[in-house]
Amino acid sequence: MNLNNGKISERQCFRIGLWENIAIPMVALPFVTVRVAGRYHVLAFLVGVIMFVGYAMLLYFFARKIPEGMVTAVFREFGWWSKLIAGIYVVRYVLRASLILLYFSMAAHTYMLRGIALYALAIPFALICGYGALRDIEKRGRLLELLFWWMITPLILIAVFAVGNAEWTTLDTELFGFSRSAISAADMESIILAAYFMLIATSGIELMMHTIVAQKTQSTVGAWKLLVWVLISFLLSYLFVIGILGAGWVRRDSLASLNVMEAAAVPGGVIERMDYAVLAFWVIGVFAIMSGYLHYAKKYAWSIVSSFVSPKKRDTAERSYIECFVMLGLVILVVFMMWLWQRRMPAQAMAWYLIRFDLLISLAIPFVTIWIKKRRETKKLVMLVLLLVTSGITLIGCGKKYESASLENRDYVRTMIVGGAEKGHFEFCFEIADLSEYEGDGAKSLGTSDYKCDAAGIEDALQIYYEDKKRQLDLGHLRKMEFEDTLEEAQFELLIRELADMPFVPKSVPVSDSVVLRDLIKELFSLKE
Amino acid sequence: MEHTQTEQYFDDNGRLNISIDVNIEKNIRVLKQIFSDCGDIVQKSFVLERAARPVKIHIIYIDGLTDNGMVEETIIKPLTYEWRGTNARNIWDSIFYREAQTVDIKKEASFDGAVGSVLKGDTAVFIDGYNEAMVLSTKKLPLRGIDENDTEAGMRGPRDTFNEGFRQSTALIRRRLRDAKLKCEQGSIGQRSRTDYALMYLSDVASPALVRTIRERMDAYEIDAIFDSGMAEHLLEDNRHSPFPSFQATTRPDKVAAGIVEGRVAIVFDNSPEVILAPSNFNMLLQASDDYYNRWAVGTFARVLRYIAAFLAIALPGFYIAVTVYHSEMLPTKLLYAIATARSMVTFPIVVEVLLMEFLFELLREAGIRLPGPLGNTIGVVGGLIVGQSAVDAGIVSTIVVIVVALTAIASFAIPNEEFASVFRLLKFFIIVTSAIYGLYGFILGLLIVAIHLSDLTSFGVPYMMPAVGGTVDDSNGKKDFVWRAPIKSMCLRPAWAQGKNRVRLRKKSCENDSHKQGMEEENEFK
Repeated sequence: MNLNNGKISERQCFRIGLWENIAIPMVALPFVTVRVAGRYHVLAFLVGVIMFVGYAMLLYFFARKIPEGMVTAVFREFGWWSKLIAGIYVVRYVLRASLILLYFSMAAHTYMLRGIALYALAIPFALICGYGALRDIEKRGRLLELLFWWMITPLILIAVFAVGNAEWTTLDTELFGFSRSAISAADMESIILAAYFMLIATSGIELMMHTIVAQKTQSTVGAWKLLVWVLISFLLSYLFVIGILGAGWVRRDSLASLNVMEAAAVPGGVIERMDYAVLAFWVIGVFAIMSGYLHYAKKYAWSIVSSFVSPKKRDTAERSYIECFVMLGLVILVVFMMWLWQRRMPAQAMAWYLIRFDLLISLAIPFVTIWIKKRRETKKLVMLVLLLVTSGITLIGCGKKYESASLENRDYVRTMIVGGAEKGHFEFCFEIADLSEYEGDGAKSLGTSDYKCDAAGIEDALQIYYEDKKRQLDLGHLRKMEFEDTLEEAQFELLIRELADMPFVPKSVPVSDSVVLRDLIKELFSLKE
Repeated sequence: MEHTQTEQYFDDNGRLNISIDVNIEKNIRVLKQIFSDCGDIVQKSFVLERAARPVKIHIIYIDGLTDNGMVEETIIKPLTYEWRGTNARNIWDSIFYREAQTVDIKKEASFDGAVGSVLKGDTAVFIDGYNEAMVLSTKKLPLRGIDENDTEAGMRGPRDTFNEGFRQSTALIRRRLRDAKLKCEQGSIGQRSRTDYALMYLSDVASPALVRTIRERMDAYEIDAIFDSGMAEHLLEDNRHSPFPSFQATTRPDKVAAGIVEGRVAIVFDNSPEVILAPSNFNMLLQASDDYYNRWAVGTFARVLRYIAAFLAIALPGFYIAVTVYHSEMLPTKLLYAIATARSMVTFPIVVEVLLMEFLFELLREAGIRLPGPLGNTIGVVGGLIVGQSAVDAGIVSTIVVIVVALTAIASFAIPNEEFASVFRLLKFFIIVTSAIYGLYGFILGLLIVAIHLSDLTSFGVPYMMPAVGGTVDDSNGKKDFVWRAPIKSMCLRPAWAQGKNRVRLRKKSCENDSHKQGMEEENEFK
């Protein structure tokens, strides 16, 4: 009667694979390709897809040759070197998990919870990923099978509601806006490099090498199906992000792609902004990949630890306690590495390793395992030398503390008019909704009042208002924005840049009859020949 | 002194370890010692003079649990002036096979068995010269009748309900399943209470491993007393730390019968009007009997509503807090102005408002249960309307919070299983806390933790989230009875946990037809 057998079905394998491999790439791929390859980002994307397919096929080949699973094979084939190999895997997966955690925490901090410290967001999430990763593969399969529609439904919704905001007519220019006959050697190098970075960003596919061996019925069709759907999701997310935001905007920073979610608007204004809801569901996708890394890191770590645990304890309930401590240790390590990523020297070392060695190791160890299996004898291996030297990725730490007043202690701006003032300042005029006489009948009983001030920028203006009125000015429900002729071009650019960095300002605010704020941002950041 | 002497008759488990003696005087002495200071025990000795030789007979029963009239009709009169076996040499056989006017008579070789039967309402007869006792079924337990079901009401379907009578409950199930393969394995649990229970299942449908597991778990513990199926549930469940129930408790005989036919095992307990079914899962606990009695479209609609209600019951207050405190940009502008205006008169932060109202509703609900019927209803009205309105007028809470909390409460009432609904009421506080700390991020993380826990759970080896998660068992038929309730004609197979070789439950009487073929194909998969 017991329906548990320690295996997963093809459907579960597919869903695990899909969610482990699309959450991060769909946000990171546009940035990586555009940032490194510039105008030739679409070529970089295509080359990157080819490299990804080749990498995935290699991993599938390794999985077929190691049906007992890498963890078991490592301990069987490498003898006393196995602990070292297992340790390498632990460090690799923890390193990747820490980078994902940092990236994700920054996104959550920037787009959802500016008033909360980065680590206050990261640590609970890491613990929950650890909790989710403690389960065996069968329970993990059930979880991701269960969560599948939770994650895919918002993606479908955003695609449906955002498609109208994409500039499909200019997509051709965004994608192919380069001279086809003038690709230099340096450009080619940047294309290859961008493709390689894309491969690194999508290297989460490595986990499928471990997962697929747990499938009850081994099916090549299932593997191809997964690969095809992953590629479709890469393509769709890439086209959407570029089509809606434009390549220039995406290039600005690694999180810019997340702005695409704000482009989704529900007809009738039932929900003003869907980006928060979709971001919340993106959390689950990140959970899938992070818990995947932690799950297999724990397996390797346990295989090391179990050799120090008495056989009596290995198969009893005590094992689960020991595994909990192992997982806790891994989570602490992940958070510690996340902290290291924010320090220049360690970050440089880790990035250097990640870029130069990690992919190679992911292929080398399984290859050597198969070679040893074929030779049917245990051989001593030459130590793989690991140097954790990376190039720096200095990432943003805690942002400015955002004053978060409750609803009734805020003043809601309906229109913002900006003009030029002396000394390079701006003259702001905010038309604020007056709720004192409001009777809930829409605009009929809604009064407004004007507030004017001179400030160096929008943040400065908000601060001035707060000091004056002791209330927070809320730009989250802007209905209109106007720019006066007194605004100089340099000032205008500065203002647009500042607005682009304010996620709470809706990018669909009309600036004129036919132009919204998003269009201005795209135009400012667009790639020029 | 007598109590001390009595102790020698009992073993460490509280069972009598003394055997029945051929000398009736010894047996009478033992009985008197065991039942000393028991005013409701009736013991009577008399001599049967119509046999070949005078034979002393001793009868014992409990006043209040026994039908006195039946004792007289079945044993006293036949052994006295209605005696037909004149000069009978073998008294035992005469009484057992001829004189006793009852079909339900058995032998007991030990004091423990005889005394145990007496304690359940039977009558024990000891005969001089024999080391066995006769036990006659003469129960007349104080029970209420079969009432209309008010805890699991429905628009359509039978309205009878189980009560505290063990045999009545098993009879209600038997009445619906007139199948010789319906087994009723009986036993008792509880050292002191010796509560009768029965495992009811179809021997050719329920998995033998499931029955075996339940049987083993029933015997695994020694406990003083079991007064309700709920207590036994907690001894039998897979995961005692989980708030989600592993069993489905119900007072509806039709639901139990339907569960048995699907391969589940029903456990009936004496003195408990709730029968428990195993295995159980999330989907089953959101099903109502009406779903099968109404048309499939109506049933499906009702299920969709319930799933939405389950989500609202756990998520709505937390979502409200997350959006209004952290992500007010999501709100439509008019709604935002309305909320801000409403809240301008309120003293407390939104989180405190919501917690206060939720606490108030839970208090009202609990008070409504404890108070007698009419008063309980009044409290609900008074509390809900008047106190709520007064709280708004006093500026303690805003109207929109009252709406949110009321909607949450109504949603939890839409969940058919009360035990299951209670879990949602509990978990909503957890989601409120996570949302209050982290907004939508915390809201999603809270739900994620719940999802991780649910995906871990099993009930007797069956994943709790089946059929949403199929695992390596392709329970395609289970999906026909999920959120969407397919037409009855297309539900040909029993669920995946039923015996693999006997999963077809619907076929047309003519052999060659689609549903039969489909059923046979799928059945072969599980052989």
